Amino acid sequence: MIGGLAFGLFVAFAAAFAAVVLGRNLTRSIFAAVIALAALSGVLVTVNAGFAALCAITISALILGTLQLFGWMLVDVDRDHLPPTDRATWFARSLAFVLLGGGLLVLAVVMRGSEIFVATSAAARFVLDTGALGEQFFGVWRDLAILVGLAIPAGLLATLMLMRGEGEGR
Amino acid sequence: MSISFVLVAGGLALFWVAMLGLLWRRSLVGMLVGVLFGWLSVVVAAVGFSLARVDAAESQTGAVFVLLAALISGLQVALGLSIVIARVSRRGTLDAQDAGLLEG
Repeated sequence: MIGGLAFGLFVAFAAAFAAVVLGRNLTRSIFAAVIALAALSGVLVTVNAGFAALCAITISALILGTLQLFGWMLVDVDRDHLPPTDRATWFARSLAFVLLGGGLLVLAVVMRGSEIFVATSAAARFVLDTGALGEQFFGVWRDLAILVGLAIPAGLLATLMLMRGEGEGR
Repeated sequence: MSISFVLVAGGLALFWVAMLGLLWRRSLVGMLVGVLFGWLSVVVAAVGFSLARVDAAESQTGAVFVLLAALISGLQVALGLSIVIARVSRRGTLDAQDAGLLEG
């Protein structure tokens, strides 16, 4: 089972990497992202993540669909027409990614077979108690707070769509 | 090597890809794809940590955490997309390099 999980995660990683690398072509990027999402959904279903996995995959698919839709509306999906990054910035970013990747690798190596993983899991017990957190902040109104939180960006998005021509010519 | 560790390590790898998308890509839409992968990496790591805990009742609390993260992620992308739409309609470009100043 672990081999299958590792393979699924590797496919998701490779597809996600391709989605980022192919970012100059929006259609290919979204397609690779969908493959990564499918691989991840397989992984989450395999480990019986249940309702959380269903919500995660559903919302991710909706986000990808929205990005694709607005991408088609806004930009040239074949090419983003951005000038190439200058060499110094490219080098600095490469160095940053290598350092970040090295740091994450060291973290994974240290966590493997050590007490840190167990301790982190135990600490997560307190962090994950979101029901009590919502109760603390909003009391009986916590469900309403979630709906308001959804309505605010939806209203903002709709308003911006209606005001698209306002700033032109300035 | 446990299933939990494999999932958490996969989450870390996905987080690296998300950072790649956020910091490397200059297209604002490409950066939003990076945000999506960043959130998915958190979901995978959270499921891994949830599996590391033995009692089933507590793992349901982990599911609530994932739902909260899903909600916040959806809101993030909605807000980010609003900003992208506003910027593209005014400037006609997706280049994040020119977005250093947050002027309207």
